[in-house]
Amino acid sequence: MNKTKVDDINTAWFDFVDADNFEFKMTAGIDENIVREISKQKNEPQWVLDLRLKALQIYEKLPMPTWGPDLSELNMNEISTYVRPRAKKQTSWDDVPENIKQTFDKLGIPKAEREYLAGVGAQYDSEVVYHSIKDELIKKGVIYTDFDSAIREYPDLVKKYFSKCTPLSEHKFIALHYAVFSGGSFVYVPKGVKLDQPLQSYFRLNSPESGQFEHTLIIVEEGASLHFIEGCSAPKYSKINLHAGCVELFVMDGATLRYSTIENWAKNMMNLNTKKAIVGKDANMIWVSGSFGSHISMLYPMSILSGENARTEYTGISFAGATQNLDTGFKVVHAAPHTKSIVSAKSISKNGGISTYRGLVRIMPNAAHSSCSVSCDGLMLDDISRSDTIPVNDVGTADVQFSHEAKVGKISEKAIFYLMSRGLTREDAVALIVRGFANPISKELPMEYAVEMNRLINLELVGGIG
Amino acid sequence: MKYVNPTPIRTSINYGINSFAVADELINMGAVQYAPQTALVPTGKSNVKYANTLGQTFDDKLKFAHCYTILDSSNKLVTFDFDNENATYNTYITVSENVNTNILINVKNSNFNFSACKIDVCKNAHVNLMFLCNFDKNSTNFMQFDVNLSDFAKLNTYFINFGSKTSVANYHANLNGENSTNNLYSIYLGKDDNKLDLNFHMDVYGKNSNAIMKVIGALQDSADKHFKGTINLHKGCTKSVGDETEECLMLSNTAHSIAMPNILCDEEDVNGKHATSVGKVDDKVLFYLMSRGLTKQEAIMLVVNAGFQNIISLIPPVFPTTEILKQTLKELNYEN
Repeated sequence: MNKTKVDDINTAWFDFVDADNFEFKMTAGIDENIVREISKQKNEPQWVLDLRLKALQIYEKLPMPTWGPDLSELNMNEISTYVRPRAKKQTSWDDVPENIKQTFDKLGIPKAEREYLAGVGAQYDSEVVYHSIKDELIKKGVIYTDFDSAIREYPDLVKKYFSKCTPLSEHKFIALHYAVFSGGSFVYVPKGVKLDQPLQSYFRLNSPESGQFEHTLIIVEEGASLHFIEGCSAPKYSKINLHAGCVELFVMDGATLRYSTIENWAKNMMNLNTKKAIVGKDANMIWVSGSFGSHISMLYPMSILSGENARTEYTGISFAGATQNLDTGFKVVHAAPHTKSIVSAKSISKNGGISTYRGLVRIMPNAAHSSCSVSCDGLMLDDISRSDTIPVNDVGTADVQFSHEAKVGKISEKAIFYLMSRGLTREDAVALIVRGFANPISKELPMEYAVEMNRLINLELVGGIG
Repeated sequence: MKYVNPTPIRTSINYGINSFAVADELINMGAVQYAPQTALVPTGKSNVKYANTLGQTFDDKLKFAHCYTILDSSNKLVTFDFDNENATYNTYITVSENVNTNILINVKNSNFNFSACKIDVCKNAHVNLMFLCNFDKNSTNFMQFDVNLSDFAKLNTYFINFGSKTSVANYHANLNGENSTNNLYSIYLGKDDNKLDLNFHMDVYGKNSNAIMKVIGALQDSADKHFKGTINLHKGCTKSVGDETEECLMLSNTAHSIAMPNILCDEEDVNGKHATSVGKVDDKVLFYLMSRGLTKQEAIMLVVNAGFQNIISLIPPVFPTTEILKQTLKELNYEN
């Protein structure tokens, strides 16, 4: 029987490497001296250092996760938690050092900024090297800056929200994050301000045997709306790199936030990221997530629907190829009446890749008249891969509508036969089905990113292999 | 306090769904041995053989491991009646090759019950097996079922679970043979402050096999139910199907339902799916039934019973379906 070959996600073009030309690289490992040194290097206020030290204590006490992928390859003694590039934060690409500028040029960031973004942040290793926002947004009171600047310039806002959505003790790697966080973005959209164009932060980790721990804090005030895009990539090294970022989102009453992520980490990356949103009354939180890279991912974005009539949607796709174990999912807590969530997760696994959907829906006793619909689809493209679905559905009240369904399997021969009977070749039929499978995700992305995603799912089709 | 009834995998949260807390006094009664890997059931050859099991009833108050081999086909029931207080039952049944049989395991009126039951369904044997649990409302029950299926073996399991304050059931099926089928149909009803912990697990190894779970239940009052269903499609089980569904009808705002329907898939050429749903009785349906003269309570119970009928209607008539129906209505407080 003919077999159709579908290529791995082609992330090779992200693998170009800059010389590891840093200004300062922290000794590998994690202890109190290192945490104090990071704080000193960043010239932070005392309250931030205190928070870091408290987080370090928690990190040391908490156990490694007893579930999910095997993390034994991660040796914190080999990871440098802070790498400062030879560059200061700039507001013009012309002022960014040439090698770093070239990196972001290759990634298409300046071009995207010119064409359709309202603001851009670019982080290189542990520090933000470029940040800009359109003047008209500044006039409307929108704040979009790197997180370190926000700590200095907007201390009251940062203190009010920082670590309030994702507490230090939530799990071991969030405690690690708070101990050594550096870089990231801060966004504040004032009441009623609606941004027509997205903001984008791009995170590039260039240095080998290092970690990136950026903190993103977004506050969308009442009735405001924002589309935020997060991109990340790194070149491939032989040793493990670590990404343990944190995203805290506050979507106030009546506000809308769309958070899109395209993640192309190299296949030596442990991606242990934490993302959470608190969604207010009549507010809407939309997650769009594409996970293509990394060696191991444990990534479970979460929405807490705390206000009446709050809504959330999650649309995610993951593609696990050789050596990849992508353990992803979505968590939602319905904590108010008339709340609604829609979850659509898809995964493709091939060449021995492991895809796992690990989700949670919790409907609290006070969340009457809520509804939740969860759908998971797993596509296996060969017989050496694996696809698991592990959901938990916890319903605490009768007055709900809840449904969950999941399917896993290979491409239906009947569907291929049908398309071939309509004149398509076998290769075209499979390509059409795989693209159709990914379509619900790509249609949620801005056009440029949809094209990018289709390019990532590069289908190389070879017929006639027995 | 000790935790039993774990699932083979861990969820991203850790709040009890993975295992069930057992009080110290129950540990002393043997409940801690309740886990697949520590099954009491002997794996040696049978020590009792019944050449003719037509209509045979075993009610000899088994206290220790007893093994039975069913050698002949019959349309009649082979019945095991377990009726005792503070009982520990340990039963090993082998259904021989090419045998068609119907087995009823009837457990009731226990204060504390710990039953371990192992069933081997040999090549081309077809078995209808019912566990009818009708416990005292204050009882505590741990039930463990271990099932092995050979080539072309087919087992329809009907697990009817009523009564008991705490009920912990662990059903583990190995579909070792090619073209083997295990259909597991289960009804549960939680009332008062009942605790139900159902851990159903099927491992599929053989090609062209079918692992089907269909679970329907209702929760009243402050009942708390944990359902853990896992279908594990192992490498090599090509052309197999794994399908699990769970429907939970919530009849009270203080009831609590946790469902964890897992599909683990290590083989490409399979069809695995699951679906769960939780909800209350539709207001429009209630309105319609009440406009036809039923009270609200009667209308609700009619709808619940209709849901249960989806499974009861599948039960072969050789089983006491009328009694089950009657018991269902009684449990639903709808009996005159």
